Amino acid sequence: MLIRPSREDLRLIGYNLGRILVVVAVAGLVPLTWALIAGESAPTASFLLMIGIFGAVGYLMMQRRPQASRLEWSHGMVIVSLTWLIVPAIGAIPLELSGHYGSFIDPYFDAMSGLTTTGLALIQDLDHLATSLNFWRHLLHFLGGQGIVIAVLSVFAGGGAMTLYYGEARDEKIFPSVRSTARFIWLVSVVHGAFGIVALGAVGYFVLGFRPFRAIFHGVTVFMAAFDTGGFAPQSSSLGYYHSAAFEAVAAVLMIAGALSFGLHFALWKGGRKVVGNLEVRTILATFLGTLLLTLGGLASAGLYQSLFGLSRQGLFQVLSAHSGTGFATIPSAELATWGGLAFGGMAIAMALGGMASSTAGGVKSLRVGLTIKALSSQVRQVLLPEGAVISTRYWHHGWKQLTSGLIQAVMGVSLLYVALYLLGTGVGLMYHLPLGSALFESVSAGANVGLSVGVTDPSMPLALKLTYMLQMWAGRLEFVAIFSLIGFLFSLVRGK
Amino acid sequence: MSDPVSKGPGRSNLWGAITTLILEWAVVATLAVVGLGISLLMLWLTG
Repeated sequence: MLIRPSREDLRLIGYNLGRILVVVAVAGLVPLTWALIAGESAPTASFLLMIGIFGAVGYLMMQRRPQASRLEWSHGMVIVSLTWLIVPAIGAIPLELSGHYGSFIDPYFDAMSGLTTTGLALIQDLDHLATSLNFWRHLLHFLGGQGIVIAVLSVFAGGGAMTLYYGEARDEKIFPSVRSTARFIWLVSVVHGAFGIVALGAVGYFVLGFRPFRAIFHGVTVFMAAFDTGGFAPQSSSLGYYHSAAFEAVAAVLMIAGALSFGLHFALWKGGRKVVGNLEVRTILATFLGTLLLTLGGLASAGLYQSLFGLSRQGLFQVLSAHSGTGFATIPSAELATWGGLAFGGMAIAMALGGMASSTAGGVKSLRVGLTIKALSSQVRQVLLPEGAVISTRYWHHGWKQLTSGLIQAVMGVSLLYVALYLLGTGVGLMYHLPLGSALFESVSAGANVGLSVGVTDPSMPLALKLTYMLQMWAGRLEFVAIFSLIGFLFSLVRGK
Repeated sequence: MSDPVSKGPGRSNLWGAITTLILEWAVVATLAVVGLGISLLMLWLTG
């Protein structure tokens, strides 16, 4: 029997959701300041409107203060899934007012893509977008990648705060206190931000000849998109705009840092002992090398790149971008669409597998892939041993852990849901007569929050396809549990007793 | 367990951050060499 949520449940959800919206309103002051400094008057007005709406909605929701302060699991999951629907809806307002979009669904698509660190975009004439609005698109990556909830937990960490943390598909608590964990995540980001912005800005200024403001702008935006494995770029030709191996190398360092779990960052900061033995590290190295072999083999056999450096540079960067879930490209979508056969397979597998758990990357995640392989090898060993023999399987992931049947079920369940998510988008694409390869590639890119495109994602694509990709981005980023909780909550509101 | 974050970024944290960044650069350099090696092999294999 379903139990209908009480008024107190609704107050708890509304109050905490309101608190998150107020924090996002404060974050909106950053692009507003940028617009004021850059002297961009129209974006200034639209940011003021957005901040006003975030602040007013958040403030109104906080007026009905709940009696209890402790969040239950269901509350946390519902709050997180609603946050990831409401924030992009309000965050899309300045984008809509820019005149660079068609219907309101297009900027909502882009804001959802930004917040979920996907990187697919429907913006038109990006190269002439005001810098503050372009900055806001990338800040959405940063807010989504770091986790809006992480931002909130850094300030307030009330009872049951961990439910929000888990709701954002993070399962590694680095410190006993959730607030300390949130602050460590910020510390890692600040260090990489300082390095990334200086290094990218320096390449822009000294190598590419950008003016100081332009070098800083490109440094900041590309850092946020790379470290949060987002994929938006300040120019329509993505990283191909720079034609610079040095720029691509710095971006690659940030993409790798973004695809590492924060637990692994902590292990590295503490000296890095036993990092190589970590199941997730071994798995991602193996799958990366495997997909790189497939892609480079496919490109070489197709004869698309004749020179050694051209083949290795384009192949390696694109596979790294796909596997880390970033979505930067150094070649146009039309050229990527010509990568058929093995190269296409390598890229699609790299995108589907994704980065590490508890990182900013999407996809199935290396830990689940590693655990699935462990479970399969354990099954094979069981078959080969005499009947009745009991085998125990352990793995190293920040400490020795036991592979239990409950864990295997959970891993298999989520992995199958990702496969279903990829097939959903592919099916809808096929309904609109897309070629199978393009439909699959774009669907995996959306569901795994990558952002690479073979040209399907376009303002003129059917509305149903836009909505499907948005659903895939949302579900893929939150890893399903929070979304199922929201559906269950809404159902119990209607049918509960 | 001591909490280095709540104590602020002390010297050990700074050193940890620097070594992590160096390691990330080393990974990129290694991948570039591996990518070149595989590309060379593939170009040779495919004529």
